[in-house]
Amino acid sequence: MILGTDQLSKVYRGRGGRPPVHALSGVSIALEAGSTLGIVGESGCGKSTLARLLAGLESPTAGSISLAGATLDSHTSPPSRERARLIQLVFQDPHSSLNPRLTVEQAIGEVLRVHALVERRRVHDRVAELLEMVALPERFVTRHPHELSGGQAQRVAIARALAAQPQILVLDEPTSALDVSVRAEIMNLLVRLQDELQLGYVFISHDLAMVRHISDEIVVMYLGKIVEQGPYQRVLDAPLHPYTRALAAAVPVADPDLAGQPPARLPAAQAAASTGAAEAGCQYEPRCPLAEAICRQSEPVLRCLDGSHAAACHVAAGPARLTGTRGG
Amino acid sequence: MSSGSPVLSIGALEVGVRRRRGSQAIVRGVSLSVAAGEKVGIVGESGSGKSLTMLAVLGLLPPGLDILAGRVEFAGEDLTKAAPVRLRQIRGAGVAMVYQDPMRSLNPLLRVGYQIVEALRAHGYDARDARRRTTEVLGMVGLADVERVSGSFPHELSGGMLQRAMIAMALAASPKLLIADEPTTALDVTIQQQILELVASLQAQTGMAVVWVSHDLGVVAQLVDRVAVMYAGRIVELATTRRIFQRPSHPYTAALLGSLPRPGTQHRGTLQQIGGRPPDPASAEQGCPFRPRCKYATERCAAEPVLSVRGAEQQAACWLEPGSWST
Ligand SMILES: Nc1ncnc2c1ncn2[C@@H]1O[C@H](COP(=O)(O)OP(=O)(O)OP(=O)(O)O)[C@@H](O)[C@H]1O
Ligand SMILES: Nc1ncnc2c1ncn2[C@@H]1O[C@H](COP(=O)(O)OP(=O)(O)OP(=O)(O)O)[C@@H](O)[C@H]1O
Ligand code: SF4
Ligand code: SF4
Ligand SMILES: [Mg+2]
Ligand SMILES: [Mg+2]
Repeated sequence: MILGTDQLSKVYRGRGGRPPVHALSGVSIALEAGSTLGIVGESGCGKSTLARLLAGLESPTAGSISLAGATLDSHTSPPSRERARLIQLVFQDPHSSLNPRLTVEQAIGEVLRVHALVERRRVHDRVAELLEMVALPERFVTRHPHELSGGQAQRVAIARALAAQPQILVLDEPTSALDVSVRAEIMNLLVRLQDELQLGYVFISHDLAMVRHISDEIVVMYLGKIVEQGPYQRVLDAPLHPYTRALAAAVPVADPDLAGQPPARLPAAQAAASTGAAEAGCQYEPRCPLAEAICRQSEPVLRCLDGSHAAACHVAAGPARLTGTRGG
Repeated sequence: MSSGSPVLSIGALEVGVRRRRGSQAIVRGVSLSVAAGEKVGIVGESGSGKSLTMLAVLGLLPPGLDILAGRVEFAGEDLTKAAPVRLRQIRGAGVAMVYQDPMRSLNPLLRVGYQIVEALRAHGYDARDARRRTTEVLGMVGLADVERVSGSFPHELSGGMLQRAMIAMALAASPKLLIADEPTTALDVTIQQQILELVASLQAQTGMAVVWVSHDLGVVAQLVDRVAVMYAGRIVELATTRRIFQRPSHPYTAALLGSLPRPGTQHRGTLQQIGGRPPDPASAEQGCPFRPRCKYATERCAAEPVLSVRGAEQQAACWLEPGSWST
């Protein structure tokens, strides 16, 4: 295990007397070197919060993170330079992650210099090399972020992350700003780099086709908690949790003849539930088609069903099917 | 399909860097009309000029770029000649835009609800109506916890929540024309679906026209009546959605359709790319811009083809005879 978390939680204080937001509650994940952990879940379920905690941009309210076996002190901020180099984060919105005043060469060069990765006179060549990796021509070195299209900016952000020679990339919706062709190019690039450099990826996306394509393991989150995890085929082809089933069933159709039949829709989330406040019972209960009486009384815990496939659901992973428990 | 006088009419629009000698165009001769109540999609590779075209319409080009030639008319008024004050008025009342860059829509230092209320007040709503409407539109875009979202600063919201708040803000004042630039990239399919249905129903109710910029052909297929395909700053194909999917008339459109993810691709296997790189729209290369990547290119393609009619509801810019090639 190269990167792991143990019961990681993050609570944001509520504003103006409103209840706090439990963005992440007791999340334990494990990432192996050279492999990809895919993370999916509804908007607002805490995926980006997890990404920020992993990258050390915020510290957890509770729980811990370990890197290559060593537990990180979550209270050193900023995180040590080495940690900041080893775990690189690529954001959802490329424009917000690039400093508007720096040219592409300055932005990437800064990373090379801070971590003393190449000699000063080699900086330009290395920047050009990194741009080539993300399919951008060398002449982009003099551009500022506002002179880049959305997709070009995202490729610069990926080049900048790669510049640090990290062991782990935390990719938060890395392809959602990209068109299909560039997306294919970036996905092919990510797979190739992973094989060449044994990089570990935490790949966050709502694009199930992409998550499926690149992930070895998949974690499904709902309101700050893991509700299902396991090998990618198991989670997506034989989902256990009712939420994962609904998610996997909602595949978009790129054909106008079928466009009249919208994909299966989840019932809207309940207002109270969206803050993830700890209440008795299953958090998915208000939307769950399988809910039973027990679902309102006790909260289901993540249980391992055959092998490494786990789900937190009384019905799908009920005591009858229980074969073991999973800690983290 | 597109009856009545257009709400938006773009004619031979050129956008680029103005130089004393030989200006450099990035958007090249784009013409497009959108009728009241019509929904038009703009698709095309990253960097093809989709955002710049739309920013030019609203007079919001980034510094260094200008409209070099052409016209942009909104409800009959030429916006390229409008004074900045007038443009601001139009951006408020008539045309609403959801920007690709969220920080363009929302001020990071102000609470989200306050920003929507203020935008509505600028359109003549009184304080109470503005607050009521704000709550209403935030609910319409499927945000569960309207009160919390409303009282939050932009950085306290997730990407998808922020994107929905921006859509709510754009729809709040019932614009005549909605321009949405990649508005659903941060949303999962179920919420995306909900937004598409919302836009379609508002459009049916109020006759709002919609220009939906997206690289996601799946989304476009579900929402729009017509599609403009952009390549290297030009529109290379313009047709009804059905025609685009059933019989693309430009090799680039066909390639774009071909790179949609297919079920059955091998896990971690190579995904199909179009191959080659899109040209820099500003490059001075002559001829058909798709030529270096086109498998049907002939000598004739050394001259640039113009957009010409391919059938009742289809135009393409390609020298190939209709029906002489297959995808
Ligand atoms: N700084 C903050 N202060 C208060 N609440 C926050 C803050 N950052 C995030 N949140 C809240 O935490 C929850 C989880 O947000 P997060 O950004 O992690 O979601 P996400 O899963 O990445 O969603 P999306 O798919 O929309 O990007 C949301 O309800 C969000 O409003
Ligand atoms: N201020 C600028 N100066 C010079 N070139 C620019 C400027 N802004 C954008 N460009 C270039 O113009 C081209 C078109 O950009 P635009 O943002 O319109 O692309 P797009 O089609 O919206 O792409 P995406 O899908 O990636 O958002 C790109 O090649 C971009 O690099
Ligand atoms: S525990 Fe009950 S309510 Fe929760 S997901 Fe399972 S069946 Fe549904
Ligand atoms: S004009 Fe020629 S190069 Fe251009 S798309 Fe048509 S066949 Fe291909
Ligand atoms: Mg997020
Ligand atoms: Mg754009």
